[in-house]
Amino acid sequence: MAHSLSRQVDVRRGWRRDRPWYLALPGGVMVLFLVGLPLLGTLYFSLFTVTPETLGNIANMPFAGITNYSNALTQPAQVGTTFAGSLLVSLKFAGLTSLIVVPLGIFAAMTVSERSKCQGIWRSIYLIPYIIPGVVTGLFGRFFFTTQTGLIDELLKALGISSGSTLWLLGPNSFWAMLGLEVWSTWGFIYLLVLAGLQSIDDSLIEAAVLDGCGYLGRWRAVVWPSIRRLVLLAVALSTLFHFNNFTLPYILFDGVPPSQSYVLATNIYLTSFQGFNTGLGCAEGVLMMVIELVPIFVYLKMAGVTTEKRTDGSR
Amino acid sequence: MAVGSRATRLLPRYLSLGGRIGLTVFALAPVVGLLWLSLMPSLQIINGGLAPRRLSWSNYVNAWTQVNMAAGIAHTLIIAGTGAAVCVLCSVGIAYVISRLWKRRTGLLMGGLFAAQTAPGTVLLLPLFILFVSFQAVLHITILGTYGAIIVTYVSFGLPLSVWLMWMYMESVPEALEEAARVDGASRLVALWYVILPLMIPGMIVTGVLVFIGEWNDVLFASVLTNQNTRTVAIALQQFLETQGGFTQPEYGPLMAGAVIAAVPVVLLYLLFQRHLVRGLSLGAVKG
Repeated sequence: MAHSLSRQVDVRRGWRRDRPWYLALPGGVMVLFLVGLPLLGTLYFSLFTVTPETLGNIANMPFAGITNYSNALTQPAQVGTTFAGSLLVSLKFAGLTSLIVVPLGIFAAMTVSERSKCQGIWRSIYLIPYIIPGVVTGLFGRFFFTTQTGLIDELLKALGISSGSTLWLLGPNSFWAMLGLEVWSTWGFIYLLVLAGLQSIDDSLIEAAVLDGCGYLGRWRAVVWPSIRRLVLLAVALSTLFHFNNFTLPYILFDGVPPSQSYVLATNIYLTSFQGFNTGLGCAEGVLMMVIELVPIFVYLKMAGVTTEKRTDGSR
Repeated sequence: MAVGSRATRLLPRYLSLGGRIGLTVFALAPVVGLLWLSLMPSLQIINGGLAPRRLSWSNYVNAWTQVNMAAGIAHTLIIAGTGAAVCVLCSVGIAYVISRLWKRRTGLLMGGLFAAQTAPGTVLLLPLFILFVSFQAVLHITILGTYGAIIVTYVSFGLPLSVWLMWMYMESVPEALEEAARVDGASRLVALWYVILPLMIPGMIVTGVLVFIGEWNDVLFASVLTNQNTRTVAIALQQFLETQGGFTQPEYGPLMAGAVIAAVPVVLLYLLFQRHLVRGLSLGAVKG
């Protein structure tokens, strides 16, 4: 292919003039308008008294300053629980779930990391609870845990373990029912991440450890844990925040309004805004919720060491 | 490289086998329970009883019409399918700009993308709703309940994860290949289209599948942004549950069958793409 002289010059100059920034526009605009704007909107509306009446006349909404915030923190419970109460429930829920789910996921990954004949089957089975949509989990949970006529009470009665009339969806047990379902539903995520990490461990490392006389515990300490540590950290961070934000499970399991022991923050904000019609308060609680979530995010980013990426071709 | 033979085992045999059996029972028991319930006549679900008195296959037939599963699945396929496709395409553009044109302060960007993935939907839903309502009033068009509104919303919320993954995949494509194209006289766009994209197709599929599944499962946004004409599968189920609660003889049988129907496509998708998904996640997570 014959190049003209000017063409050769252009090629040598490279792509310096050719910078199609506009490729990022469609996505960027969407994020700006549909994520950025609502974020600002939440902040904005939290400073006003927003109710169905005032919404009709956005330009003249009464300014409330920090009233919504002080209400969130001090107001006694009208529907369900207070902000602080549901925050506590959410923290307990997210914390306990992660505590159970992480060792479970790590153990699960370790049980299938070796090459065996029916490996694919085990791995697929492990994924099933994670794949099943949250709606479906909440739905069958509702019918398993119904008092007396639900499958679980029926089973307990048939096995003679209890009288078969335990309250699962009301009262203190409701928290544990929800926790159990969440654990069942999400350990697959930890398992997936840890499995990916285990698969990138060089066999020779483990062989070396075995040659050095390491038992199973030694192998764990010397090779396995150091290799998956970062992944586990990532999994814990993402997972805890997911449980904290989970709206679907309490919504479906308790058909809208959860009992006070299971009244998580996400549900509280949703109901305050859409059923209590105090949108300003809902926004204020939302801002508080996001601020609280920034803490674990920063902690994770600090621990993970956010550094510059090493490029595959060596350049920076 | 899978950890394999005798000398490289991580768990003693009994623990490994026992674990597999135990976890399988744990994983599958509720699923069996769900299938069990879906074959029970509605009356029995209400009145209790362990074993189905008769196998109600009719639940599955009724689920399509009574619980609106047919409409629900159709709507969700359109919404989640378009949403995932548009999301992946947009994120390729953004990932290209970050990976090939920006190249600065990537640490900050990574942190930002990570934080964005954890944004609580309940908090952003409300102002989004207000935004749509005001635009509807000002521009005199309908927004809520249209495909457009929910698809665009899903794309926006799917972008953080999508961009993160696409960025990782793009970083693994060596720039030397584009250099070669440049020497041949190609522009950046041409190089992107003919060199980078073909190599990114597996990554794009993985990302697309993950985004699709997330959208299929969404309840929060669909509850507010859809109406009878665009109801997704998740909302069809939830609405049916709500309405049936008022009847003396709620049709819970078809509801359970509907739940099974709602889960099947997603389960199949995951199992089909399982190997790619694990590899894709390891690329994004292990490297980053």
